[in-house]
Amino acid sequence: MKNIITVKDVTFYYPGEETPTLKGVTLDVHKGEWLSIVGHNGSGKSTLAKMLNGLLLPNEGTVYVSEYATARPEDIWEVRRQVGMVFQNPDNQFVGTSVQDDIAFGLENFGVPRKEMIKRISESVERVGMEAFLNQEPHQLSGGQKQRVAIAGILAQKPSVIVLDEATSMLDPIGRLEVIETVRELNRKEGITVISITHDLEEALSADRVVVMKMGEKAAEGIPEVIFQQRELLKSAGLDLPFSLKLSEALRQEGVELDKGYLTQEALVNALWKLA
Amino acid sequence: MQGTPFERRALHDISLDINDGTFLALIGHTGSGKSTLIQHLNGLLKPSSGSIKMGSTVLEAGGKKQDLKPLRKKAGIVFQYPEHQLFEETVEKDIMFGPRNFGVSEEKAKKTAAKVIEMVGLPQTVLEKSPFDLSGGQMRRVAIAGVLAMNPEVLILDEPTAGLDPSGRVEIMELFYNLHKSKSLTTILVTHSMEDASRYADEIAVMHKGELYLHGKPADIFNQREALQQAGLDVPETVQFLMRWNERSGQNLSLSNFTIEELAKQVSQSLKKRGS
Repeated sequence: MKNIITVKDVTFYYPGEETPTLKGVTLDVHKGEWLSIVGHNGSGKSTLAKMLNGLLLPNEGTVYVSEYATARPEDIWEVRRQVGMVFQNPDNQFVGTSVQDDIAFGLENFGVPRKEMIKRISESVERVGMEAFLNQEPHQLSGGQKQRVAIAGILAQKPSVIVLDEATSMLDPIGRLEVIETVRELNRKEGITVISITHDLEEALSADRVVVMKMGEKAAEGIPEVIFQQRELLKSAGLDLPFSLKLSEALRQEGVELDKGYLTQEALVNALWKLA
Repeated sequence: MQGTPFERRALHDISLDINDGTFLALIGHTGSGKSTLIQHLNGLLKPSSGSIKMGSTVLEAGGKKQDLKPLRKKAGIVFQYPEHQLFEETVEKDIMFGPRNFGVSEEKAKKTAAKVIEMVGLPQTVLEKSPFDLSGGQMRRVAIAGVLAMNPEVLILDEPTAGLDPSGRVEIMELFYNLHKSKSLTTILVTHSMEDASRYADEIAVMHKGELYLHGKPADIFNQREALQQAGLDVPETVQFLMRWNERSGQNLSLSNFTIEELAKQVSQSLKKRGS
């Protein structure tokens, strides 16, 4: 599989700190995949996210986006165009006084001509389902809508990767679903690579691959079916088990002879029905 | 903002009695009026009409300027991301700030700080540190200690676990629950988590469009899935699973305390019955 991002032996210290926040992290991100990065508070996952578009630069090691290095000043604009970030707080994402101004701001920074800009704005708001809100002011939008505008701003720059840095953690369940569904469409239909830093285990369950961060190191990497069976690993990384796995385990303790832990409610109901 | 073009009725005709010692979960999607409601409870906002009574203190609409101190002392609010409100040079000073403001002597405030820091599970040595040298989770505990230092009778928690990893979430909720029990507090928890509401609350109040939409014991509330979905909410995962299982097996099982253990027991017993 082709890599879109290559992180190699990255170590990073915040200024004045003696212990590194990232320790020798190596990671390949495949083109078109949905990669979830999970870990405890302070595990380094958000720092890793900021490495991916050069907001932070490694003290040791390298980060490449395609053939562009985040550490090379002449590459950084291309890196930032290709890798768009959506942050945690929806109220900190808005710079414009309306939805279209907000998206235009990003494009102006990249010197996109006006005619092209208008076209890209209308295209990108449509892709996140916000076309009815073009002239709305930020305070009239819900948290989920603000995050979708942030995503439209990224889309207008024709990125290849979207990084969600706990982008749904301040949203209510509806807003969360809104944002995840929007990004999922982009991932499936347009092949945009998604990297999601998250505490939401149910979201991580539906990822193509999961990376577990622990104390600044990559503790594990693999498909959700394998990662989420490793109870001790998850516990030591400050994480919980997803609901259906916890229930599978509780059922086995009650003497129900399940052959394995199931990841979704539907699969578990089916397995139980066969035992009945 | 009454009398301006921005006037919008955020709450409408809410009547709610909360008995001494109750653990009430207040749920509702963003914009439903939860936060507006709790800001009325310690006089940060005053009602446009109606009144709020806490113990012997009454806040009336249009009433004279009242002394809010007794109310604010009685009801402690832990806001969202409380660690953002830390500001002093040392943890000890930060915790002492509230009591000192209410005229408590320096010596006594120091003693209080030493006591509450233990209540939130941090060592005494933390008192001498700058709050800004602590980890995010520790900072949140310090902020909570600052609220406890006021010795409130009513604890109002506005999404106290937002942004924490799963194990941090459990720790903080257990901390509040133990305080609720051991200090016989009245606790009001604003949350998006149906799991937390079902695990800790004696009563649940559901807000929708500025009105009190549902109010009752968890078992009553979670029986009304359609009504909850109309308010942009859903039942806990354990109930969701049981509904799937009932549908598949034609049974009519129900839960009383909504834990995974209870669910596993119910399902395994129903399997055994079918097998025999």
